[in-house]
Amino acid sequence: MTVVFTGTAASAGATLGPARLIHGPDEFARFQSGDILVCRTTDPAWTPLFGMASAVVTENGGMLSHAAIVAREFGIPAVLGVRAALELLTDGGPLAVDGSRGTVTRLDTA
Amino acid sequence: MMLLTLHAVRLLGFADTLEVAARFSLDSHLVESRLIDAGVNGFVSRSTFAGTSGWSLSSQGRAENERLLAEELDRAGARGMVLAVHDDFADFNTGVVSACSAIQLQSPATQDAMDVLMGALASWRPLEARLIGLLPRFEGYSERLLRSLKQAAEDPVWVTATDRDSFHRAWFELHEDLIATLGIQRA
Repeated sequence: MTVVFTGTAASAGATLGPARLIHGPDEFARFQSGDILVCRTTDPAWTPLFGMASAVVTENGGMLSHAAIVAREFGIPAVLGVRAALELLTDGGPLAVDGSRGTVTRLDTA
Repeated sequence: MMLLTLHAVRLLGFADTLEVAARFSLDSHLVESRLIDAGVNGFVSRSTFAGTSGWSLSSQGRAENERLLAEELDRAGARGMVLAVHDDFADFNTGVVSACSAIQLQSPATQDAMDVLMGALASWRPLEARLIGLLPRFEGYSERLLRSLKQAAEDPVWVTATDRDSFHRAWFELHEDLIATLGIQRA
């Protein structure tokens, strides 16, 4: 069974990659190029991660949020406002993110 | 000095010593010394992202930054005024983010969106003037926003670009500054 979560389609495009659950700046060093950034919300400190991420998934925010603008600027898919993403997704688990449809699919449950 | 050093790191997110010093026009040697002290205390760490080295605030440093900001706010007797400014800011923040998105997505209403940004700047100017009466470190946002809008008139990438001091970058930083000063969480 494939588990699909939905949120706001905030930055177009689709990609696959490992989820990296980041709870705060203390965990930034764990982030690797190509990871999918999964977090609660973002502020200016998180912008460098957008430059390394293949996609962004946040629990808060929507189409009209700073994170949406920054994701579009880096040309990476973003699905924002995915409720409880940090609890429902697994660190390192494979994800498919579709920033045009607003879907996040856990590929480890297929 | 420690307050402005930590706060510069908070606002910039990830920056080298010279950028941190420049944010509040501080002496770079003193700032480097403060950053080393802050590192020893676990408030900041130095790391490399995509080939660029810089300082960033730890969770502990964020808490210390907010403690120092709260002290500053109480000393200046500015809490009520900053709360009122933040409320006004929040009222036109949605319009600004919407306008930035419209320009970024090259919507047909780009000129209307530019007008929104100019209107936001006009609204912000008197708020900044009120703030700097009690908290001078807020000075400079209006000038940065104006500079970016002038550039954007020639090249719209100046509205949302992340590789320069674009309108959205200055606005995002201003939003973070207000949130940090009040010690509130981003919605």
